[in-house]
Amino acid sequence: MRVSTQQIFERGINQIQDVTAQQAKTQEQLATGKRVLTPADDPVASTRILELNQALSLNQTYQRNIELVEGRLSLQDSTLGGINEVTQRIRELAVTAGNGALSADDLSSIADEVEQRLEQLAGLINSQDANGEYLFSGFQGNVEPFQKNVSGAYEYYGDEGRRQVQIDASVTIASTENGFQIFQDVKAESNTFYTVASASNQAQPPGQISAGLIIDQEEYDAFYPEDLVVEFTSPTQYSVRERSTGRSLLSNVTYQENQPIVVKGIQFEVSGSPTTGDAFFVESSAKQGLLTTVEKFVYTLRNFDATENGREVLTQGIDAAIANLDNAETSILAARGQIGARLNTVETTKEQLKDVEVLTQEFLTDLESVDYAETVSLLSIQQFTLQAAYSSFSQITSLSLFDRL
Amino acid sequence: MSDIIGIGLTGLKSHQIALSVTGNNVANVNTDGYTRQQAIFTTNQSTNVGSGYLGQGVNITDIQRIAEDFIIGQLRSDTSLYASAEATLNQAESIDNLLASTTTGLTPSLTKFFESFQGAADDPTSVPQRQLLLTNTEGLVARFQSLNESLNSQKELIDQELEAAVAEINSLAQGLVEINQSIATAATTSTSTSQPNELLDARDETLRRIAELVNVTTIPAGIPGQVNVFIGNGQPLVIGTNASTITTPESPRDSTRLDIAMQINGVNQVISGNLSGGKIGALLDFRDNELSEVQNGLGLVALALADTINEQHSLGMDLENKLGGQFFADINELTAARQRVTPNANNLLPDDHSLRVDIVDVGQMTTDTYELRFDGPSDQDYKVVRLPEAEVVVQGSLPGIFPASVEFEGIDLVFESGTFKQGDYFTVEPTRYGARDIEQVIDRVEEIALASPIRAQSNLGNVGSAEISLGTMLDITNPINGASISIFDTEGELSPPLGIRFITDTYYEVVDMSDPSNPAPLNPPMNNIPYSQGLSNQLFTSDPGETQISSLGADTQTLPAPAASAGVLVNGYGAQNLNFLIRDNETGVVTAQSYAVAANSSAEEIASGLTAIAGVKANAYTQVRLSNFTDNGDATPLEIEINGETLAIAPPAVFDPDTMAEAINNNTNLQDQNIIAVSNGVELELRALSGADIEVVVNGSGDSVDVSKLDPYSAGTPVLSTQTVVTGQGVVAGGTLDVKMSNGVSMTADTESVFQLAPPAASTYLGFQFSIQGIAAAGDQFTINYNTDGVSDNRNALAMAQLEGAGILNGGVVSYGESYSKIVEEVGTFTAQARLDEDSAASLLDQSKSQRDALSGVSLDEEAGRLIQFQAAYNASAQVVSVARELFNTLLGAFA
Repeated sequence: MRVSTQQIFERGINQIQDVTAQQAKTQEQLATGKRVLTPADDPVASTRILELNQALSLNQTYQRNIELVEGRLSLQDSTLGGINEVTQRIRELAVTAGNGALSADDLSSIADEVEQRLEQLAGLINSQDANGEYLFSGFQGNVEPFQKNVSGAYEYYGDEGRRQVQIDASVTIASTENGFQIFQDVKAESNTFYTVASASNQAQPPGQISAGLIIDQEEYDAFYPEDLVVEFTSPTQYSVRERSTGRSLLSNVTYQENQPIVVKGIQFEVSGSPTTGDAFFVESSAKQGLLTTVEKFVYTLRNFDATENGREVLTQGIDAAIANLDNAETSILAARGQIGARLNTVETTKEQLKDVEVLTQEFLTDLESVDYAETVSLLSIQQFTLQAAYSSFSQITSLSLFDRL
Repeated sequence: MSDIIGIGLTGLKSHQIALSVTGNNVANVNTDGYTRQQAIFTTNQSTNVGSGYLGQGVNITDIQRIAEDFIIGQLRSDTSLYASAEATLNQAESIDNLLASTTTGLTPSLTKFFESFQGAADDPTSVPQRQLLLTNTEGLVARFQSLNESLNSQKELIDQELEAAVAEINSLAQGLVEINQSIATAATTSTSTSQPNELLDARDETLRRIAELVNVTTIPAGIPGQVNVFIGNGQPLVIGTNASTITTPESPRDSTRLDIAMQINGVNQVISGNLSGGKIGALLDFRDNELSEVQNGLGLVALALADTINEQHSLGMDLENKLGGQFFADINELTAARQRVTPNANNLLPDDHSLRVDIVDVGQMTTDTYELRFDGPSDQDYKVVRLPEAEVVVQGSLPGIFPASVEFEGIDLVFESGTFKQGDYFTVEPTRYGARDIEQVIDRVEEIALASPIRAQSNLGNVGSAEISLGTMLDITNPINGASISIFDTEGELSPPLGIRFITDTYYEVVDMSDPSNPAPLNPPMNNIPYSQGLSNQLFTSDPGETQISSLGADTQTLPAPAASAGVLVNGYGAQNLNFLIRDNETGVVTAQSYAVAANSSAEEIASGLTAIAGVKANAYTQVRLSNFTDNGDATPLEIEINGETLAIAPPAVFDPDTMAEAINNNTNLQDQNIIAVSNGVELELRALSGADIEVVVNGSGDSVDVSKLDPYSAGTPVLSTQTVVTGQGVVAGGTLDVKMSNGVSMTADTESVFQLAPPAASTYLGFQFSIQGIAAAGDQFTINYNTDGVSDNRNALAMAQLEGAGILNGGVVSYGESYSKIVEEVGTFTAQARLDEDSAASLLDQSKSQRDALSGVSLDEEAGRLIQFQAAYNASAQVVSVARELFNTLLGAFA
């Protein structure tokens, strides 16, 4: 075969360039530690790399979520622990008060402490987290969950929201609890009621209704579970009817502020200046909130009547308070149990996520990372080839017949 | 002797020329396109000297190029192939790394965007988390736009390269024309058959350079050495001494890209589609296929993201208690929608067309480019084809009124106005601008809607253990007709707030709680709905097209006159034919079905007949009030029969509504008929929960009772009609019906009796869903309200975060991330293929180059050899002359 001079040079240079290019790529692989430098190097692997990286960052997001959930749940748990201790102390005071030998003065001083404890309890329940978000107000994170209404009784202003946080691809877990569930939705020892003003009342300032109390449990039990509506037919007159049937119980009574309204064994007061059409509801309930129980206990202690009958009422009141406190404690313990269970779930999920992270990381390394032993030896082969190309090129090109002329 | 000198001289002359040829070869060793030349020695014609023919020396008859047309042709086509592969690879590599790189690719920004939704879901009240979400959104939008911008500028660069390449072709063609001319001149001035070697070299080199730009074919022209050159499929570039001009006009389909056209007879003929090979072929192909495919793919991801995030965000509630609204700019905003259709520049005047593309379902969309063609036969006939194969996607005829629209592959092509004529073309690119036009419209942290706007609460007084769910938002506008759902019409509240009240343990009603002390029925009403204890009861419809008709016909508004109780008592409802049209939503086929209401049917009977019709569900109930119980005080006390059950009041109790209610509620036969009674001490209210007729007969003597029919659709159930029933008489009250019809079902009547003649159907769709589960008790109550101040709610944030992995594209199976990785994979595969192609094209080119060089290249060693060879022959020829001279001298010496 005939070989032209240009061919000799071109071929030699081309070969040197090829090897140099390969060497540069091997060097880049070594320097970056990556086998796949651009998708074209391995289109399938590079797509998997993108997906695995995404999976990895999701995994890390979930792990971060878990840390936050753990923090939140632990804070709730310890707060509930504190609340439980105070509840137990109040129960101890109730047991002490049940000692028949105590005088009205003794009871009054117990009531003083219970009142202190009530404030402490409310303070604990109204705890906020580091961001100022209330722990137990459901979705209403900026609303103090238990506030005193005008009649001085604690009322729940939160809602029943419970925040879910994603801790794995298909697992969400509640990271908050609401006060309704733990402190309000507590079974009452006997049928009870609570009062509320209608949201559509027009009077300014709005009229108020007191928490009220049951004065004749038997009569109320017969009426239960009906609700009452107190409706103002004029600014000076009101009627009371049974809510579900519209049956009239009191008709056009003249309104006097703070005068007890007694109907169906219960007693409550309306205050302020309601206008025509304003309404107040007395809703029957088989539940009694923790704070209401404590308030009623204080009321019972403060209104002790040192007669035979009065002592009986006191004993009944104290028994009810102890039973209701026990129910509240059960509810708190149930909530703590749930939180504990969730912490367990979160813990196992975290372990799982970590395992998956390690596996994903390994898989990613397999796909993406360079095999150093292989690549380094490749580099030395390429170096050797290049040296051979250099020396052969210079040797071949230095030959010329013209030198012999 | 002169012979010898002559012969010697021919040798000298010829070898001198041969040495010059060799010298020329050596000199041109590095000249591109140079073909080595060879002097051809020919013996001169001998002369007869008597004793034989005596040779007359040597002569150079030709100086030949050592070339082979086949090899040159091969080299040319391999050059085209390589130039094409090289240009493709260059272009492919620049997007290859762009898309997958962690610094320029989309994936990291997309991941961060969703991570910040997770962060916000963890802590929805945190302003820094919300701020981070906004920042990451900006980052994501910027990434979409910069990727799109990179693709655009690559397209512009390609267009610039095309312009340069076309200019080069034009100048090369001009050069070829000059060469052809010179060859012609050389042919006419020279008498020999020899060809001008350097012109031929120049011709081949010019052709090779054209081949680098585009595939060429050559045909020898009339004069040997001249060529005619064609590009594309037979478009003449150079014919003899005429060259065509190539231009780069704007494409009529799309003014942002250049076409390649050839001026033939003064007319620009577009030849872009015909060109292949070479740099131009590769650039055109890459620009119109891969590049626009990537851009469309990226656009689709952007559209899908904007659409789905917007949809979810609009279902949420922000920190200011407002509904979420748009997060990104609306993808169907008018300007954006109109940009997706470009009229062809060659369309007939007037240029008054207004079209737009609305995106209906991103899950069904493709990244294809379509063309809307009016191919006739009439001006109204159009078809939509998929480019580049022109496969017909949909075709039809314009109805002649605007706006008209046609829906295909997830988009709605809307003809807004204009004069459409046969021959008009429009380019339809639904996804091209998606990545460019994505825009964040939310800019304040308070506007991010992480909460859900609805919440449910259970009444503290509930006796049962039933629980209501937190609620799920489905829609803010009705997806079927796009109308806003009226319950969200007032900002910051539900109008009206809803109450769920249990009438019995197994029946509930949903009421308007605008005035909590006077709950009113809803419109359309949700009265008397059965509840399954223990199961999860969905409260509302999930069918956006569901409507409801209530029985408001004249016959339901009155009570028949009391009649003698000895005879047959009827409710007085007239006969009526109810006609239903039922449209199958899959096929669009409409079927008719009718139901004949027999005279005096009970609501319960009508309901069971209607419920048998597919897509229809009827709910019946009867409400009656008894009042004004009058006993004349004689020996026979007042006695009432309800549906044949005599209600005896055992002494010592006296007759009053309370005792009667108790008697009714304890009567097992009436319990079986689902009849319950409620007394308020004065009046007695009866309710047949499943819509049975209620028959009231008065016994005793001289006694009476007022029986009233109640209006269940107005607040406080006012009385519709009252009859006084006296001893020996009876009256039957029929019930009312609420008929629910699924999407696509409608109802009419042939006359007015139970239903009106043209009963109005109202939508029941509320755009949200709640469920109640567990054991409920009569009197239990739940409320559904606006989630005012629900700042800690993260339901919507969670829903948005979960969109990251959700199947959205390609028919709802591919997530945004996967869709993007698919683009990366496609580009990677294409680039890998381009690398292989470039490699093999390079080795093919190498091969044909060495073939050419082996034949036509100069070898210095060879030339050195020839130098020696010719020098030796030259020396020898000189010796011959010298010998001749010596001979001559010898001869002269002999005479001296």
